[in-house]
Amino acid sequence: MDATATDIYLEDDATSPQEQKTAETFIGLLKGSVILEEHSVDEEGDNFPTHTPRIPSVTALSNVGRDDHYALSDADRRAICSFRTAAVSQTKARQKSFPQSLQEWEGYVTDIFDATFVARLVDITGRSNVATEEAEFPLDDVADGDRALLKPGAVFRWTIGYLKSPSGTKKRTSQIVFRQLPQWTGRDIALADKKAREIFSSISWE
Amino acid sequence: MILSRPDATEIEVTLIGPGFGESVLIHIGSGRWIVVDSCRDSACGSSAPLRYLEQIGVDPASSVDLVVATHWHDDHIGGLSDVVEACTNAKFCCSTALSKEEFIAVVTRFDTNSMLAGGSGVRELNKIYSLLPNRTAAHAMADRRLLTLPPGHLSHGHPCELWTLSPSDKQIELFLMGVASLTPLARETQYRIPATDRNDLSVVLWISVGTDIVLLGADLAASVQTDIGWSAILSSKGRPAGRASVFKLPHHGSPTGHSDAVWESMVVPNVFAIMSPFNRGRKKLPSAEDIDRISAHTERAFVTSIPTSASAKRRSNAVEKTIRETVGKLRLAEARTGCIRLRRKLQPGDDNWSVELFSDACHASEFRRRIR
Repeated sequence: MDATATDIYLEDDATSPQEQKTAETFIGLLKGSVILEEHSVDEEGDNFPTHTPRIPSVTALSNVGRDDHYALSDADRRAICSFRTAAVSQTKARQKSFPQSLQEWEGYVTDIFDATFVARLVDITGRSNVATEEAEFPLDDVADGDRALLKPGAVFRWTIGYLKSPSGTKKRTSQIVFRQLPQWTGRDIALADKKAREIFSSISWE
Repeated sequence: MILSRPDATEIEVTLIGPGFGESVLIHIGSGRWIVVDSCRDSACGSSAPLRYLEQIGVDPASSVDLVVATHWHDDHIGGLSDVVEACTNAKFCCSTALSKEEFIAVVTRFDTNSMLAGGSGVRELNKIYSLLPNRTAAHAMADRRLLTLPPGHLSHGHPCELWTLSPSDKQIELFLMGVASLTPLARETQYRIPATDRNDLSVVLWISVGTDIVLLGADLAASVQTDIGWSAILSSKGRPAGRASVFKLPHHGSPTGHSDAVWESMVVPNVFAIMSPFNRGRKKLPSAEDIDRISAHTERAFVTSIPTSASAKRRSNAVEKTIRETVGKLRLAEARTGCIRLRRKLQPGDDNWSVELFSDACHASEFRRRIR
């Protein structure tokens, strides 16, 4: 097995929020425990069905990689192994159909109207760092899950490319994905405010 | 032609505008310059006022006395930190509100976000703040005289004064009350600082050289409230008297910055009116209606560039087709950078300004014809 967590694209594969959440947890745990699990998969993975894996419990997943890993029940271990086998199997299929990007922009939302939103665009493909272009997008193009992120100042990626299928056909795609930037932490804010105080006290105004 | 430097006895007002942003350079005589705001040259991305000074052979470090940031919107501060950095002997001036600790905290909080290709939206301002401890900095406020040069100080012999006419105390108070809504909080998902429509914090400048007066309207909005916007300036008893012969129109000729009273009482009839276009958003400025309104007040109105003059970036057919299917077309924020240059020799018997137009700068009537 040569898949790593970063190769795996599960966002469309999980069919329910719970499955998505579980899958994300699994991927996150794989980062820290890939060797252990790889061994298990090599040994046992092929013996489990890969098309309808039992979703392991979050409690079980949270034990992966811990010292008491081997204290997992057989059922959970089998579930984890089969789920991972399914994920890796899906990864292989997805790798073949992963989009080929032709053009990418970073967008900043400036205005939101009833049916559209306006954004300024930085041409990432052209290695620009200035928003020299602007476009008005239909709100319908925003994924339901991203609607909550849509506000002035929100940042998204707009990617145009091809989605190539395993059979060789390709489809032109336009994808808008709002970026889940990190949150400002209390430490970020404290450091920024400290810097503001330093700036404020260092400037003498006439 | 753009390479010529003004004579020591000549005054100059140059407005540069690439379609997004503007900058004004004023030569008050004897090789002394003032730079108001900055924008990026659409051809090379560098600070347009610095490029202009370089083109005419002026050293910004020794020749610029004052750098003014009229307000913090990104169409007025693009490359301004480079200007402040290059003009090592210049005083820096901005609105009192921008020097307040609570606003500086907004800037430093947003600028913690380093993951955005296009920047946090306040990086320029933060860089300016970092340069100011080693500079002289001055607050702009209503009716403040920032510069006084007595007769005989400059080669042409005339006195020179520079006043800031805004923002009013009420404007500053309102802005600071609104700063809380701009301030990002802990555990909030990071975002870029949103553009704000409010222009009432703008610094309007009044520069007199002898009897010639230049009124730079920044983006100041008109208001029915008497204590903010142009109304506050018009009702002020402390501002200098006189009428301007050159008027940089507020807010790209937009109706939001228009005040009949300003045209009637603060500028001469048939004033030289100069403006830069604003080429972003749904409503481009100035519109044909704006040009008609302005033309009713003066025949001498000029615009720095034509919004449609820049060539759209060509991409592969597949990308172009997808753009058309998704958003119709991409709008370019910038046109070719254009420049309006007004010069006047201060000598007896010569009271004419010369007008030079560079790149796509044109008379307002031509602009109106081209945007139809």
